[in-house]
Amino acid sequence: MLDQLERFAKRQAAVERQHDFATEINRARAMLKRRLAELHVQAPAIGGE
Amino acid sequence: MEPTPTSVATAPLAARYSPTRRRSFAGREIVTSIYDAELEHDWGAVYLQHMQHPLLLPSQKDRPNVDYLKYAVAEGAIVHYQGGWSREVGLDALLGLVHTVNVCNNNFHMHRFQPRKRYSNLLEVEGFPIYPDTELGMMQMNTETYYRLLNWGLRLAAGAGSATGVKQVPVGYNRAYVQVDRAATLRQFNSMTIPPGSGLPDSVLPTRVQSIFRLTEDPPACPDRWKRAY
Repeated sequence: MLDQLERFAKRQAAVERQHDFATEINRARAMLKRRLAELHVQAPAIGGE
Repeated sequence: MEPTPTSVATAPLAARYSPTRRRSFAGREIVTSIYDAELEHDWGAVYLQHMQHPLLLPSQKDRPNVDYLKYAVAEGAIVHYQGGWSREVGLDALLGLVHTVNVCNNNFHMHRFQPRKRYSNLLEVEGFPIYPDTELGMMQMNTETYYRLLNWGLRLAAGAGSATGVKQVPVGYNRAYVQVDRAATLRQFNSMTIPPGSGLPDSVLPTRVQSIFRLTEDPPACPDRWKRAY
């Protein structure tokens, strides 16, 4: 979902917002990885990542 | 220069700009908040409750929700997403900017619903289901996309709201009600609207209530004239 959101943002977000948004996406990716590790779940199991 | 969330949130506010007003009607008086706001662009509909200042960031279609939500959370606001199927909800929830995700609202009530099949997979993620334009399909879309977020390990309270406003339906339908004491303060009202698990500090929520939600394939009877799509 984060990958697809990033693609969506490249089409929709104002150019000056895209760099900051990409930073937020990367922060969220790190957070998701940490949460899934806590749950002992592999990312592909939830689909789309 | 555009104000940053932090500078605005901490700026002194003149007394005349109180975030609440007292309203009276039919012999009753209540305190209402006046700066609550809604974002509604393609990133996803979000409701900002308990705002202390006006949302000063300008409304821009090409600006993701995250900027507005940072501002709102810095304000101590309660952030509700309209649905787990919203494009940006996962990102914002991972960043700690979301408190509730609605699983029930008048888009998808069983007796009269708004077909939203096209919202099933807005980000076009491979393998995600497309839900049928039926009352049960729409309710499944709301709940399953909410549980998808929970499966990420997120603690998000399930919410309910009147997404598209009051409709011409019998009293008791298509609106979200909260029962509070007659003399409840706005803070007490806010506390009753948020179930446990929202992650909000106790300073915002002095008391909490349990939310109960059940998806059933045997919906309660309702008049046929109301059991149709918008």
